[in-house]
Amino acid sequence: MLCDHCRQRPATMVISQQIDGKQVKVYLCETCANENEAYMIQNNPFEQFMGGVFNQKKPHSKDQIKCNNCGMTIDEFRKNSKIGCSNCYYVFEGYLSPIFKQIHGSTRHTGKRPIKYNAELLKINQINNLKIALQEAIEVENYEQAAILRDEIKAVQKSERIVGD
Amino acid sequence: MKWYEKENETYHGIIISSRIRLARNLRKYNFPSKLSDDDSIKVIDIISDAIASASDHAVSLFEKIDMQNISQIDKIAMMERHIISPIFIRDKIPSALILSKDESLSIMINEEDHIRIQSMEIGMNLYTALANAYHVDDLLEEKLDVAFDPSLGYLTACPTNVGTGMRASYMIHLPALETTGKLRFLLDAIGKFGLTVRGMHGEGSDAQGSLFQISNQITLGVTDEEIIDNLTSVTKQIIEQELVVRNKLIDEKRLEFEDAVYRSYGILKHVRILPSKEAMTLLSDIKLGLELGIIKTAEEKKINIFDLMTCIQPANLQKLQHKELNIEDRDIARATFIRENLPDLIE
Ligand SMILES: [Zn+2]
Ligand SMILES: [Zn+2]
Repeated sequence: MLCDHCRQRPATMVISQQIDGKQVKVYLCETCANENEAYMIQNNPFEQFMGGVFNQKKPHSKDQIKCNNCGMTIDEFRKNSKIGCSNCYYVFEGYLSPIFKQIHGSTRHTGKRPIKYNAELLKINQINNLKIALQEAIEVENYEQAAILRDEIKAVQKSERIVGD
Repeated sequence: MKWYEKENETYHGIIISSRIRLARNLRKYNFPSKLSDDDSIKVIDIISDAIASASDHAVSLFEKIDMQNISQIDKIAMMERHIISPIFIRDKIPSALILSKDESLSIMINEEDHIRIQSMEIGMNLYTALANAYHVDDLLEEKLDVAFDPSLGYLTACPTNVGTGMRASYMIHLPALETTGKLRFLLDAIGKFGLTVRGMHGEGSDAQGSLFQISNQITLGVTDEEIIDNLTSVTKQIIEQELVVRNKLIDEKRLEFEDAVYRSYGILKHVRILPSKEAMTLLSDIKLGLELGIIKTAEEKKINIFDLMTCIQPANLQKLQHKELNIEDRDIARATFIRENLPDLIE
């Protein structure tokens, strides 16, 4: 049986824990058991795995950044591996990015988007197309057409921003 | 009819169910670990109002359950029926559940994220489950400012969910593979595909009744469809292996296997005291025996073993009995319940 933590070395010890009245067993190799005592104290094996990932870097107390919205610090994140708010994602971007890479092997979303964002994207494309048309109109000195296009661009830009602040 | 009471014919009953879970948050509120009680209540109101005013009539009629108003037993019973997660039982902040009539769709409000949409289907039906989850997701996105970043995707409380915020899983029954000892080897290899396998209630490595849950671990840089296709193709390979071992059992050890199934049936039909783990193992044998045609029930007395497995879980058993039971009393009630509900066999 492989170690539940590193999934590489054979497990040599088993730790039994009581979670919600249920007995849960965690299998560990000696290295992982020694390296990460926190692993045994916390009770969710998966969160512990995460804790292990985050604990690899020792905290530098001098560059203690804090989220200006929810107040989360890096130390706090290292401890419970939960992000405090959507603003944290931007405040701790440099710290989180390597973690995303480590967990997912990627740092860029390619999946579903809210329909609103598709509308926003559509708007940006629409403006770009109008700008190209405007440039062409100016080049052929069709100022009447250029004026119409300029108004159209303004109208699209003015249309309510749907997303974000 | 609840979703799990429907008939399940796909893949010889090896795939019990398909589940999609979407994690979403509101942009303007702190995530649950940093959410005040006042804001928690506001979040519940915002989300449940969005559902109640949904343009879809069926969705607008979903039932809202205030988690603070129901007993611990009711919560655990819901967890045993896979409606809510284990985390949701230990509510630290005000939380609520929105539930469809057939229990196939649920929205946990203020679990680890503000919104956890869950969609369940019987058998191998992840795409149906996804479509149903998307339906609710789109309704909510239309009305709410959901935390989404164009390059990071859906922003979630745990970095393991960021991106699609989607967890897809199959619940699978692998009794034959488990007895051969091949299973652990197979499950260890699954990590390479960005997948993970857990026991029945999603915690720990011990599986009761040979029931496992296989799900994706990666949510960033992949689409929901890619996740489902990868999960499905690996799961199909596991099913293939399970079928190989099952056929071998029938071909090479038919008598021993027949004996084992009848023995399990005999115990279930006659004992007076039945601990949960033993009951699950025995029922797992019966499920396998029925699927392989070793034993048969009369056509009009078809039995849903998975449903029975859910009914004999501690909290559900107490709800059926309408009273609190200690462990000893539960083991007795469980034996009685199974005796009464296990149909007679025909030769
Ligand atoms: Zn290890
Ligand atoms: Zn924050």
